[in-house]
Amino acid sequence: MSTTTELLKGAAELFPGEVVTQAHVRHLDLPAGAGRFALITLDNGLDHTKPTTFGPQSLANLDAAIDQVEKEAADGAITGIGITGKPFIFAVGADLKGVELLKEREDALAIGKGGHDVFRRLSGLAVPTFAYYNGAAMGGGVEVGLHCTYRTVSRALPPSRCPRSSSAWFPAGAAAHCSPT
Amino acid sequence: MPRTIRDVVFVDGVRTPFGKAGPKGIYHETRADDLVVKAIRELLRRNPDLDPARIDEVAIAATTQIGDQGLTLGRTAGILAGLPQSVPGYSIDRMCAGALTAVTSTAGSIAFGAYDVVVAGGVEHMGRHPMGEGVDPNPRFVSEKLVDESALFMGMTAENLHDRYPTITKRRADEYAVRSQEKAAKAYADGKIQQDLVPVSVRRTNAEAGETGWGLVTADEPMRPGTTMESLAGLKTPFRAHGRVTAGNAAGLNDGATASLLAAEDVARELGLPVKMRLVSYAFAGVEPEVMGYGPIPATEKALSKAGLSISDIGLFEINEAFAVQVLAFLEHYGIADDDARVNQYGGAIAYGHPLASSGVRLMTQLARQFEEQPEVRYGLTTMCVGFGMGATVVWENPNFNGGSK
Repeated sequence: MSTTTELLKGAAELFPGEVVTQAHVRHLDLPAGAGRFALITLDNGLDHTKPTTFGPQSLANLDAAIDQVEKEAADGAITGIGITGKPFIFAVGADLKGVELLKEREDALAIGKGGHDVFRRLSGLAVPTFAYYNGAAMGGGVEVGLHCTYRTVSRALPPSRCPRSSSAWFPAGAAAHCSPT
Repeated sequence: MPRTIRDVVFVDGVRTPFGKAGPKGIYHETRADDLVVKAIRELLRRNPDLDPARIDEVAIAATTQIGDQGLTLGRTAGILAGLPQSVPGYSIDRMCAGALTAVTSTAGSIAFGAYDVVVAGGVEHMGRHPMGEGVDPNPRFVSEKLVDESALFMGMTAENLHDRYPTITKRRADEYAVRSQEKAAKAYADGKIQQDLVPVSVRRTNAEAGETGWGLVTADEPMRPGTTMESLAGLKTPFRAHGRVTAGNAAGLNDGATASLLAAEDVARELGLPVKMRLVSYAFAGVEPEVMGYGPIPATEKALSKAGLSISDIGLFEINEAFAVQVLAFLEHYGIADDDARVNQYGGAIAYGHPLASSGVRLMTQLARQFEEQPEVRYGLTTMCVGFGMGATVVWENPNFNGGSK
């Protein structure tokens, strides 16, 4: 069990009411015989009025999905990996309802560090990775795609924002830090 | 004001891959209007020389114009596809010949001079809108015996057609179906079909249907390569005990959309748009609703006669395969062999599926590809049978014709 997994597991226990985001992995055949592709969809199972967030269990789910596609990429079973969101929402960063439950510095650190550790894995896989910003993206939701090799942004997308970089309130997401200049 | 009738050309045609209707089908969670929007956008992407503001009309067909297939689909799909607000649109219904009628109606208007460039297509999401959804047939149809009670059930009309053509046996229908699957598989292997498909992103949340999340559809779902006479022999005949029509020798229940670009020939040349086919003539005809599969025969007679052509002038046929028996009745009428090489070279709806109002443009798109490959052919036709006893035929000329033998 990796350190990240342990960190997230501990944080998840502190936050039993988390609205958990699933990271579904679906395989598809690319057009023109370009190969097999693994697409991760972030989805909390609710409609667009409940945007997808990254609480500790959600990050653990994404971590597990990356375990799966990392192996498939290493085995040569896929030629690329993508990540996208449910309709109208890509991901809007940390689950702020969890913030008030955090009493210890270590717990807060676990979520912040856990998020960075999971997202960063997308830049170290054996095949190119793609983020498809299909809907609202904020904070960690922006950051996750910045670790991918390539990004596309839907014209339907409202402006992406990194609210914490301006409020300096909960510097967990590092989207502003990672942004290509 | 003196008028000149203008030649109308088929510029381009695309479609979504076709899906199987139902909870496990690829488009179960995809809206019908989104399918047609995909097809319209693909036409624009493939024809960058066309300023979308030049499009004078968007005619989109659907049989069941309810919900996501309602709301004046031609107009709403145009807006959703990002066409300028100045481009109008409307909806069309002639059941299975919807997209074909979208083409002929707008083509007639192009010839008249009302339009220069149009988008014509169709959609049917038979999973969201099963055949007969919300219909309310007038009781007089039955009380006054205006039509036989079987007329509303397409499978029954196909059994009736077998009765009219006793020489068309179940065996012949099954043999035809096997060949359709074989030809379609070969067309796929040769890359003839994929070039006119637009990939569609689809969502699935039901884990029973497969992996969940977003996916991408790049191929037709209904195809059954490797179908044999043996595998067809045991299928049920749901429309009549000991009947001849099965799920294997008929098109299925499907979801999909098509779209085409048509233009006045002079405008196409001026804008540098491709000219894939030239419209020669078209015709519709009514027949007894209880044998609606007979419809393509009188429709073709009419269309050929208007063009001053005979069946022997036709070098390529694209016949919609609602039922094998309906294709075989057409071929038998004209003395064409069941396996004639001019007929449905890429296979047909038995393999690809038949999302009712979308299919007409699929036939045209495939005929256009065959014209490109076979410049020795001058004329081809697209024909289909239509519910409630109709047939529809369009005769096309090959602009690549090189003066060859056919």
